Amino acid sequence: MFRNMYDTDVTVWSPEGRLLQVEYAMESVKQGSACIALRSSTHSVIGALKRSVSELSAHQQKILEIDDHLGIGIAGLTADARTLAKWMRNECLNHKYVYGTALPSGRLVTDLADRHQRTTQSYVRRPYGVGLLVASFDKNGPHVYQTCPSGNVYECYATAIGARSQSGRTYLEKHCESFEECSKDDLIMHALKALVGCVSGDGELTRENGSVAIVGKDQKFTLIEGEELQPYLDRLELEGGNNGGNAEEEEDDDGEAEEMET
Amino acid sequence: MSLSLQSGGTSSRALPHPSTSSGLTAPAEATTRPITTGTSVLGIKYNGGVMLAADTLCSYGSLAKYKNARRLLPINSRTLVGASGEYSDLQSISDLLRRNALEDRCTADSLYEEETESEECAKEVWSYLRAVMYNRRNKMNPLWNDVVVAGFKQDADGTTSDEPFLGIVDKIGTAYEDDILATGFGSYLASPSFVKSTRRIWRRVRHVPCGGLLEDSVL
Repeated sequence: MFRNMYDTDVTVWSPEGRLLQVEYAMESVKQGSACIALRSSTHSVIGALKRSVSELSAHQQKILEIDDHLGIGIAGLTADARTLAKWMRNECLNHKYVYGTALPSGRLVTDLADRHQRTTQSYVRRPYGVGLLVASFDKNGPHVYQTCPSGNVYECYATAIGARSQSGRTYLEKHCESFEECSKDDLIMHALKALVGCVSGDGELTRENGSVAIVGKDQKFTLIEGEELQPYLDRLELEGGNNGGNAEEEEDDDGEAEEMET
Repeated sequence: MSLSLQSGGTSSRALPHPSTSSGLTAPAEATTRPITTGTSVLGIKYNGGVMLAADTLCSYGSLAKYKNARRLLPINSRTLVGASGEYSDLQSISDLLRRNALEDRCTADSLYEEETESEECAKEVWSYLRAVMYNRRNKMNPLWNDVVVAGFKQDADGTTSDEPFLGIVDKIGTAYEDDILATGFGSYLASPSFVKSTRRIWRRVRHVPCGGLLEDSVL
């Protein structure tokens, strides 16, 4: 295809006015496993599906704590994500040392976007191959941001990235009106339900591959995994089934079963 | 323009680099003594906020040189700063803090306009000053001031609360918060009687009596 002539360097424009290398970097994000984020008026939640390389290996960490009031969910190149996380943690700590307060997430995310952009305008660097979902609670309330390798940052009420994330987005769009007033636990349930649709084939959301984090008013950034996740997974079973992709074997709960997106 | 702690928070270099000097410039010097000085600043919390008081004299040694100098300065809509000691250093601090406040206003904290509260609160200004003063002290070139910072506290979620804030930072970077503060001679002459009369009941002291109390102390 003609695309190939303009995609070798990030500093080369295609005739359609696109930076193909940046777009290829965004493809990398789509290869990562799904990550969901949503917020209410008091809390922000991240949910993620952890992948394991093989039966024998541990599941890859997808949610990273940045500070007491801020955390990220990642999709794409994990190594790139760790570099960004390291930088974000440093920024937060510096701000705390100098100003004695938590770094406002809007400011951090804007600087993060600038960092991404610099890589798209340099001959010797490449874009970061990872998309981040930033969930925070600071003096301006709860926030959810989505970052791209292109340097764009979007603030959202709810969003999903990674493989098969469209089903997550569809679920979130359907229920987004109800998020504002949700309680902590209901918000987590929404994240899990959105995540279920992103599981491949006849896989299941389990306490090994599921991962949730919450931050909010009077709630420091807290990771919920493993045993602690089980009560939510049990509730998920009751409320609508835990099957990825296929809608068979749904437990009907007096007609309140959620439709699973394929 | 450099606001980094590296350069002591100001863009002008206090110590010219010896290697770039033409040979005719004076050798680099650090502040060893104050020249034009202001005296005490008093601050007390009361029911409704916090009040600062200072006279408007800047002395040149024993000469009463500048008789109408402002030593209490607003930084943004939430913070007031007052300082004793070297007046030029106060002006430098004031420039620095105002520049920060301007940058704050120009930098969107959020991508969307609905978000407010992007101004630094008093506690952040106080903490920032502590970092700057301590950094300068470590370079053996202090800003020769005792700075009082007044304003309101921030709640855990960052909105300005009704709780007043009063803090002090001295020339070597010691930072301290209290209900009643004074710099210089005020801490010997005025503070003790304040503390005795109003420390535990400052929440009940109203605006006008508070002003009267401070005026009497300044005189």
